[in-house]
Amino acid sequence: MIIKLSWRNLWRNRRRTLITVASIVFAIILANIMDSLLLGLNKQMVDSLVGVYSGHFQIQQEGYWEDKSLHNSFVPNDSLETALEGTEGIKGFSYRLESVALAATNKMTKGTLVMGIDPDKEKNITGFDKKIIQGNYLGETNNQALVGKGLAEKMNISVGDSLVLVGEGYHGASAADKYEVSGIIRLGSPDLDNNIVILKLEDAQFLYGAYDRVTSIPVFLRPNQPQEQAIANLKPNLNTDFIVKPWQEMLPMLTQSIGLIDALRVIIVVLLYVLISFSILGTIIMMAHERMTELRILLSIGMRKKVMQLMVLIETFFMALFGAVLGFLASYPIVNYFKVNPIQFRGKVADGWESFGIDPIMPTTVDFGVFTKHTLIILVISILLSIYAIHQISSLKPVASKK
Amino acid sequence: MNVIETKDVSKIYNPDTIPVYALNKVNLNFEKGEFTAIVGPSGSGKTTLLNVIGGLDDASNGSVMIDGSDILKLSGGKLIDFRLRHIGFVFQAYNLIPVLSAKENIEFIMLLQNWPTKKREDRTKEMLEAVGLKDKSGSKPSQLSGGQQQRVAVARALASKPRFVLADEPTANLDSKSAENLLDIMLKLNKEEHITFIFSTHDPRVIKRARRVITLEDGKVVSDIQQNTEQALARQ
Ligand SMILES: Nc1ncnc2c1ncn2[C@@H]1O[C@H](COP(=O)(O)OP(=O)(O)O)[C@@H](O)[C@H]1O
Ligand SMILES: [Mg+2]
Repeated sequence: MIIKLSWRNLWRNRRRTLITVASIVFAIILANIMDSLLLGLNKQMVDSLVGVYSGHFQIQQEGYWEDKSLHNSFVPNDSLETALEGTEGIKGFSYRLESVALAATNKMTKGTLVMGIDPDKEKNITGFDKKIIQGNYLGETNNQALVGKGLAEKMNISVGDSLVLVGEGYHGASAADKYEVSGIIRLGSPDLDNNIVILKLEDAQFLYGAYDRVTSIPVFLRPNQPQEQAIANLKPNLNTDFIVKPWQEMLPMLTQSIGLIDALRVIIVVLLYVLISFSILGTIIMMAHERMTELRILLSIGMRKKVMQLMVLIETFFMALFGAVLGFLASYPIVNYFKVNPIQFRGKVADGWESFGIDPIMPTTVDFGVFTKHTLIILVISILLSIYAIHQISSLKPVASKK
Repeated sequence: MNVIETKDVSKIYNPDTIPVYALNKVNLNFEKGEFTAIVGPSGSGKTTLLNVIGGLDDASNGSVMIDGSDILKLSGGKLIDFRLRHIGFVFQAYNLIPVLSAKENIEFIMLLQNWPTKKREDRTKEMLEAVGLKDKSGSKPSQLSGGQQQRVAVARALASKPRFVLADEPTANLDSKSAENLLDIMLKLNKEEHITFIFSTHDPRVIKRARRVITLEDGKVVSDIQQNTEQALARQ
């Protein structure tokens, strides 16, 4: 009976109830969009730097991070490979030899980052082959090079050109060799694309005289795999000469940006909650006041205050639930739209983003956990707000004192 | 047998500044089956008396004994339950729950009292018939006239068979024909169900129909007379 009363009371002032419900729906959609956009942005940043470049963590020789020279490179052994292959949650890993070199064409010379990779391994893990925008991926033939898009533009390099790399090899030997540009690559991180030359691992090892050696093993996790857990699983099987470097330490700027965006996310969402709370509270106050006479009569004829309080609580709950469910349902197509059609930035904003090493697009994530969270929070808020009406009822007297 | 007994009941407003005696040492007994009007000029204390007897308001002094227990000593939930179990109320206006139909309003108190469904429905039907609103069973209060609303309120007050029904100016907002009609129904139910009615009124035509008339002035009982309604009516 109480539920029936609550339900009907809710529709007494249809317009007000609908306006309140609409504002709840609106706030939830907005909260979901903001949250999904910013979470998407974080994911996008992590994906474009971590997923392609650093890996979720790297195995390095102790000391390499502090001094990134070939002296701190190492020869990966079978036991290391077995340990990696035996660890749950790891999607894959690859071997890389990274160093610097001067790249020269017949017109220009420029400092570059040279990265030797295992073309087949990267194909499966980072999908480097899919990031070729001109020419071909690294093939069987030796002395081929991939050049980052930005670097190619700066040095005016095109597919088929030859490129000379000059640097300092392992143990101080001099390093120089000539390569044919087989393709232009766009990794998505402008930082990388402006500086990188990619060779086959064996070519890089040959160039630097660092036979069989690598500088890092980037390890990539399966989607939604907790990083800490994978590291914890791996560590006991790892030789003490090696260290595990999580991406958060390798990319401190990215870690900071993510923290900042998370803070922004919380602020925006809290602001929305405050707005929506006022809307709900306004309705509750109006509902309570225009019904004082009626509630007094109910009290007079013998309805317990607790029952009345339950009644108004259910009214608020219905209203919030209605708005929350609608908001939840409406959020999905909207958020999904922005996932499929990410917001694309242009002009100055885009340049700004690119300078941080991020693609200037903003796809949303579609995470039902986020939706559920906001839906539940709205329900809790509305229950807390109905404390106002509950309090009014507890001090209610059957007779209105006249003055 | 006395249903209600008030002993030296006083109600004083603003005792510290300019005291107003809304009730001044009221001593009254009400018996089962009475049909009593409380009359008196506006401000004489009629509403206050009914509220105190009904446990809606407290008194400054005295006691109100109902079946041997003093309801002025009850408080909170106990008092609410006492009202629910023993007293029927009809107010001047806004009696009904606007979102419930006539039938649901009549059922309401029985629902609060947890009557079994069948018994409740039979009683509701019976009351709807008694107040002549069988065909308005599904109407909402806003679809009923003032007189019809008051009839539903009377039906609701009586449905759960309380010890007595208190009605504060139940006809004040009604035209004279509806007022007469409501009185007819109240009298009929008073006889058939043997339920005590105590109501306040201004209206001479209503006063004439009461078997007992208590007159208040400045919170004091100034007269308390039994009258023969049949004779009074015959004299008309
Ligand atoms: N809450 C109150 N505060 C002060 N005085 C009141 C209050 N309620 C009633 N009174 C006074 O008590 C007296 C009796 O009022 P009431 O019982 O309403 O009279 P009636 O119903 O006969 O018109 C009046 O003088 C009225 O002004
Ligand atoms: Mg009055």
